[in-house]
Amino acid sequence: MRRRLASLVTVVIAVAATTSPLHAYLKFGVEVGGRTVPVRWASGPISYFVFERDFSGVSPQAFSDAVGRAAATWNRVPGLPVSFSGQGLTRSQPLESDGRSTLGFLDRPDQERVLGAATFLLDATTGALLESDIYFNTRFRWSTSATGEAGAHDLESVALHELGHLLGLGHSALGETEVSGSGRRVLSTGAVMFPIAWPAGSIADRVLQPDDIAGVRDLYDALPASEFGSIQGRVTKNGSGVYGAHIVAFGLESGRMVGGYTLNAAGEFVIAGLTKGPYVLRVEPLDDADLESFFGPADVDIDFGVAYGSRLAVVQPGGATSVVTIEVRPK
Amino acid sequence: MRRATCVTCALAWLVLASVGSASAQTATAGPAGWRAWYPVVSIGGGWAGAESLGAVTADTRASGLGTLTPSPFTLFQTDSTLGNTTRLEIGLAVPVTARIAVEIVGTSARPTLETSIRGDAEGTPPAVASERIDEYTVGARVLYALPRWSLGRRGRPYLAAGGAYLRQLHEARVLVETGQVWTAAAGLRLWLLGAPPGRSLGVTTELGWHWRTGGIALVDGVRGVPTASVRLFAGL
Repeated sequence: MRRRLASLVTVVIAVAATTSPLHAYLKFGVEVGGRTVPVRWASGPISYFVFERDFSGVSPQAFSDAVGRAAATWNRVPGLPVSFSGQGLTRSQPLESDGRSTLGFLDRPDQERVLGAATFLLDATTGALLESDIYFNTRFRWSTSATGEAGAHDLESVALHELGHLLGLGHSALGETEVSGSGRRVLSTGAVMFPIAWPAGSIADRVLQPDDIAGVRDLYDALPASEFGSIQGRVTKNGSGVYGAHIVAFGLESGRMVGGYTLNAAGEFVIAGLTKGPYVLRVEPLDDADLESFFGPADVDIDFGVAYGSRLAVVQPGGATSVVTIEVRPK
Repeated sequence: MRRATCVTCALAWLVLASVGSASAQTATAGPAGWRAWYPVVSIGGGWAGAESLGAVTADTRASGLGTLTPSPFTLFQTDSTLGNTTRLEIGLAVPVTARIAVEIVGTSARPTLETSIRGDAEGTPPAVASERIDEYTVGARVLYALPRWSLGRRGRPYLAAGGAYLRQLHEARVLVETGQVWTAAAGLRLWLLGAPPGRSLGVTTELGWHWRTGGIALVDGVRGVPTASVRLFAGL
């Protein structure tokens, strides 16, 4: 078996940094045999350990409990074939390639805006995850208080986000930010997997949002055809495909939002995990954003304004819509 | 938003009613030989007013400390309407008593589901998204001939009430929604050729109200719409 260490996530959560108006879940992928396959665990349970280090008044046990609550939240997503299983404390710190998935505090003063990050060890022949470590940067104050603590980041919230990466989810663009100093301040989010954290003291990201759940169920083929369908479409500008556009599907019956991206030069997208009914489609650019939070180096087109589809997209369980084309205009 | 403008239909009703009233007479019983109901088939056109399907807001979560459920942040707002529409109507009425008949009615229409989008968080101008709906109803009504009023041998007012099964297909017929329709109406039957009972030809006009549950609905509850119809009928 050929193995390689792939650091697919470098900047995972930044404090008051990067990114702007966006939405949607994104799955990691790796090229295997000339085609892209999703990065995910082949089977469960996913065993993890907690690094035996206290910091900022958070004991290893309190750390482990907070991570356990976040893991249990993911475990409650219906239909997932994998689940987290805590294995206790370890003296091995995160980022050591020891065959164990480890979460813990780590000194990363060089990552001045990064709260936490996940790294992966995967089987390059299948895309299957083998190990994933997550560190929480000691550059910041942390809390495991039930109601949050002013000035300290909520460990359970950040753990829920990072465990999403550990499962194989990328960042969602479902949120709004504004420029604040040298970074960006979050105005709103519709996903725990949004790349920018809430201000210190918030505990809102302890609760998964519909976009997160749709994303992980799509990743692990846990969307029963009897309940869910998908929207397929294309975003064009002057007749040509737009790469990197962000599309939000808003269910008029469910009131829920799930997003997706155009991920090829033809501007094609597919949004899965949608319950039946008519949907409004909203397209926006990943403008003013830290694009690396979403994609690797690529020609992401951000030169267009927000646009809505002129037709409602109707989702039927077990099926995909006919191709919906949304034309956007240059700014 | 409901646009209940049935002025045209109301005028049609008045014109037809006045034709009939030229020979109107009030009577506790109809003219000699009169029978309120006998087997009749009918076909014609109808109109149904716009049906408000409700407002739904696309909310994400705003910043909030110390809470699992922060206040909402509105990305955009929607307001959906099933537009007013014309429809094809067919019916078969059979008498039950001298004054009461039961009518089987089917309708077919193609309204437009229109969603207005406004209040975008990034200031995008309002937009509209729409789709065409295929709508069918099949149901039964009770017709009651008003006992004290007739408009000579040529006209007869009546009341109607009933229910129907509602079937709506989204565009491309990929998804079906079903529901119920309850109706109440007042109508006038005018004989143009022949006379009741027996072979005859005439026009029926109606004004009414529909209450709908189920079907394409974005919020729970009963939606009401005004209706009007004009049908040709043939006595069998």
